[in-house]
Amino acid sequence: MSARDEILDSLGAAASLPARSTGGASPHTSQVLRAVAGASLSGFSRAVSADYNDEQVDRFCERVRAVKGEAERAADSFAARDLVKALLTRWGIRGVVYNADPLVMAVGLPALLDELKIAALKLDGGPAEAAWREELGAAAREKREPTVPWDLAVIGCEGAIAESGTVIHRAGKGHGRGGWLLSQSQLVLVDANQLVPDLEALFVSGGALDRDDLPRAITAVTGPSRTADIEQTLTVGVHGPGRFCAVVVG
Amino acid sequence: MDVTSEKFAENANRALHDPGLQAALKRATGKFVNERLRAVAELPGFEALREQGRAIKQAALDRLPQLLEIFEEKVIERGGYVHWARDASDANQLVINLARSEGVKTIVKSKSMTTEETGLNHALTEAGFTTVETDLGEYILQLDEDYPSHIIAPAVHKTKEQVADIFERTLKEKNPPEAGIPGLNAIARRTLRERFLSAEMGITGANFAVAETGTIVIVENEGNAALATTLPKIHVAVIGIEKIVPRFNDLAVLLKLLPRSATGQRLTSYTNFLTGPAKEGEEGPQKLHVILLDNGRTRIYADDKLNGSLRCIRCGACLNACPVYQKTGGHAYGWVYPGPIGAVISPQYLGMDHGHVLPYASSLCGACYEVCPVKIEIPHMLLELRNRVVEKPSHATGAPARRNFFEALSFKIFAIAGRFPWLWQAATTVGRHLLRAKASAGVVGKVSLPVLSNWTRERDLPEPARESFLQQWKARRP
Repeated sequence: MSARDEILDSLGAAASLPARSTGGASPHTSQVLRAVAGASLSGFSRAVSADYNDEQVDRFCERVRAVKGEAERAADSFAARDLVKALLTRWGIRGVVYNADPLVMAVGLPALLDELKIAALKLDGGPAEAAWREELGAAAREKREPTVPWDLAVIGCEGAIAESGTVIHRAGKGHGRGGWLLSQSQLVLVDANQLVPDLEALFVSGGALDRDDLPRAITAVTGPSRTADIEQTLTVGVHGPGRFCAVVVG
Repeated sequence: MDVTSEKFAENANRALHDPGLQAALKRATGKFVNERLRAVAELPGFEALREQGRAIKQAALDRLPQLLEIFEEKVIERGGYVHWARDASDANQLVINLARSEGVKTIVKSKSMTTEETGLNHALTEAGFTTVETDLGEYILQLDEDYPSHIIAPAVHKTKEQVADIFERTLKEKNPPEAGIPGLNAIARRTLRERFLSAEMGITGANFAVAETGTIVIVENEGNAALATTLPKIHVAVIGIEKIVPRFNDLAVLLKLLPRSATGQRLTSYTNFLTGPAKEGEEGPQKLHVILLDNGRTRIYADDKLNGSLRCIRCGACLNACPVYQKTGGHAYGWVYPGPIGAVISPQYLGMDHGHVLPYASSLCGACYEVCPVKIEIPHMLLELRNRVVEKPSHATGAPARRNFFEALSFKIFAIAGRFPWLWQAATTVGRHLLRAKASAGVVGKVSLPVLSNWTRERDLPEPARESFLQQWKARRP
């Protein structure tokens, strides 16, 4: 008997469930899930408004700062462009990786980087991105700085949670998941209309965490990469970006 | 790792006399307890949420075999592979075979208690693979050939000076004292970055596995699990069969409970929802292999009294709240799972030969139940296990605590005296006077009598009052 059948038969006998049909045919999914429906999100059926809400934006910014992140607000994409320009200058950024998120394009990031003479790399999974990763690996192996110091990833997001100061990123073509994960710092542009009040709302809104449209990977990011593994002392940037800044636009 | 659970008392005694460890435990458990309290206080209806968490996990257990089949079907539907492992050795061999067939040389791992349980690192190293733990705490322990002492803070027993020594000895990287902990952090980032970029395989566990969608959920703070499931071309997830939850939306409840109970965070820095391998031309692992591990779980599942322990979501809250763990730390428990939940599940995984002492490593104060996000009745389970140790002494190779002849005799005398008030009063009067005669400066001191000698060896028995409670009650009653 295979390990699979042995395990499932043992569990089935202990749970007093009907014996599995020979050949291991799987149970009817919706029937089983309906049977456990009573335990699930009964309290979360309220309608969720994703409309702009000033209080929600304030809460989001406050919660980002509470997890050692930075948060800024911009009235529109023009103001956001000025804000991003100021941040790039203030932080002394020398190289930026970015994705083609609509908001990133709306603030005119490529032209801005050109204007500021900052090296730019679009995360599109192309040969330039592959060469960039190769160089990062070589630099780490040879214990030297990369030839271009890629300091920052500027990306958009698929949604955001006010309660926890969280942004949602999806994986997929042009999303640049590996790119932003490998960067020293992360600047995320958030459309104010993408904000939902809390985690439950994100699940029921059918937006960024829509169970019927799940990409290979979704990551909910709440502040910079952190660890307190040594003496419970919080330090940032252990593997992912050590600086996390959200700019809420709108 | 060598299992030393049967030597709990000896291990605990060593821990109690280690001032560095005592300071580290006080700092860590105190911080976790306070952070959890703050996070719980700000969330209205947390008790109702606990009840919902319990119900979701229990419903998943009630339908576990069916949900596992659905999960398998969904993973395959999304292009992944599912393997089943009866025990640790099966699981390790499956990983080794996969690595060999794919020509893998370097493997990065993110923190996983399940692979600690199977001893996967050791097995992979024996098989000739370079395997690197990437969670900072786990990395430190791997370099020092040590093992975790806390479910979510594995290196809680190490000081920064010890970590600096480990890095200097094993990585030849010197951290100037002024660089402090951020300097140590930077060394790990630099060293592990190259590993992430060159590894062909990433191995993870999972916090939850969703039947409805075939999704694996991993919560973390460092970003190492995100990197390990993005950069290598193969992702292997070793998952205990009890990690199944029925529906995707159930995560809305469980993800509110887990980080708040573990570290007091509203959400961890990174919460990864992984569904299938990358599609053609997409970034990420081209192959996803899920290994569903039994390793004793079906045995626990069949046990009506103890199968609620399979609801555990490994938050570690019971460790931090436990007055025993707070003093002994995790290594005293002698295996992978420490603290109150370890005292319940280790005897079941390891068998009573190794685990028979652990159910006694508790004051039964109930703090573990109070903080458990899925309401596991740990104190009741500990009592049940104690009962089994007494009822089935053949389980124990050594002399189990409750099989002590004098102790059994004491309980018999206690039971007889309790039935006759005059006998009880006479016995307690004699006992009180004898103890008062021995007492000095308000403390009785060590008593060289069977049973009492064990109790007074590590504790100060206060001098009894001059009059019994009953006498005082009668005198003061209006």
